[in-house]
Amino acid sequence: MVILTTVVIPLALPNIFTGLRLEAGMAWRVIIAAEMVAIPTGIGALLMKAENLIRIDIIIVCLIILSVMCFSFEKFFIYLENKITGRWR
Amino acid sequence: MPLIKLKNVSNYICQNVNLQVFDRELLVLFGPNGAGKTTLLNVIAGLVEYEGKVYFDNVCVDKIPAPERGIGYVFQNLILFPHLDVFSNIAYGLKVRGQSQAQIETRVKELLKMMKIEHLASRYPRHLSGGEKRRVVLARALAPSPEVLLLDEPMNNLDLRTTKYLRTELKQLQRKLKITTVYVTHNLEEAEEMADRIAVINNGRVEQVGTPEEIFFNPANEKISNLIGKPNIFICEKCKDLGNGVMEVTCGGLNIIVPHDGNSIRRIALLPRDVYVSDAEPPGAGVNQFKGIITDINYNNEAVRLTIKVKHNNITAEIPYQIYEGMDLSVGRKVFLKLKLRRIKVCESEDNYRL
Repeated sequence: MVILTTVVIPLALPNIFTGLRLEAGMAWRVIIAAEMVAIPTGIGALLMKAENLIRIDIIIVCLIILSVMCFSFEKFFIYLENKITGRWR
Repeated sequence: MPLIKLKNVSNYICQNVNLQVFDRELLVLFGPNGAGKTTLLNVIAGLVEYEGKVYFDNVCVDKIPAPERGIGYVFQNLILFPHLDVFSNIAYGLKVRGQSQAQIETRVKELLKMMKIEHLASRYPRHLSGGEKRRVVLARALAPSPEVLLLDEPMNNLDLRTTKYLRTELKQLQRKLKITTVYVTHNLEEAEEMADRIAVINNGRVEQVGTPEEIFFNPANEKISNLIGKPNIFICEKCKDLGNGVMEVTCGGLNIIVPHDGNSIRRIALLPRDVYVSDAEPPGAGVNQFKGIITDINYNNEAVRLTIKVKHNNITAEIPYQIYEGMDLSVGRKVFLKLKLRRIKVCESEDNYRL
């Protein structure tokens, strides 16, 4: 148990955060794809509606929101990683 | 501290190794890269699988897992925990063994003082220099008071001055703690300086075990002689004390001056790279300076080996290829050679050669 908490988990943290950062963007993309196909609410559904109505402006706004969300999630995880592992990395 | 005995140890590299490390001794495993030195260390530590038996004080430890063998191990690449500061790195072994906070603090402070790294206690490994890291790793290995200390090339990648300084300190520390130590290196100078005895390892076999003097003056076979640089060995016929720590020895008609203070000298040895060769008479005092005729020239990758006949002796000299090219040397040519005074090794006794 001491080895797990003193060595294994702390040394695994950098890899865990790398995974979180990479997959946060992917998670958003998957949510939007699901909304486009199966769920009638959310950005994905709005995108589909805008497409049907040929509202390019709404589509662009949706894409901007998606980019900002991905970007801010990545930044959030970088901040968290630096906060936790910054002393020794 | 235990006596370590390896009996018929074999695995993917070691071949039927039989070896004894005496109590409180510092045994150096010396050999080229890939010879099986580290693997043998791992066998003693119980980190790799092997056939055969390993005994600590005549007790077979084959079934005892590595953490319970009472071993301190300094790995070749150090492996300090990057997320722990120096204090916690040293304390780690004690923490895992469930010692109390007070005990841990006392022991770590003691080690920090012993290794002269008290000022580094709160630093993280990335802020340490190479020498400091080695001190921390050594302190970490010594923290749980191990019975055996295994050091795997601990002086790698350090500058010459630091290496020299650390070696002296390490040797003193080993004597002070009276701990059975196995030290791996491929540096002959380091091996000679550190060792009580040297075990020469090549291709997974122990080729020869003996004191540094025995290995240097009486290598068991051609392979070992090659490994230690094929030294020129001269048998001394006469020995005259000139005073002030200087002796003159006569070997095959040559009078050689040797810095030595003690009993009369039986043999002297000099590595071929410590013989200067010149096609013109060198300036300065002619101490240990001779004239000879080249009888053979051998080309290696970077150096050229010259066999030079001087009176009744054949002396081998090694010179860099570039220098050789600039000198226009050939078989039969007269040359001057000078033996590096400070590099001459001396052997007093004749009867201590055992394999």
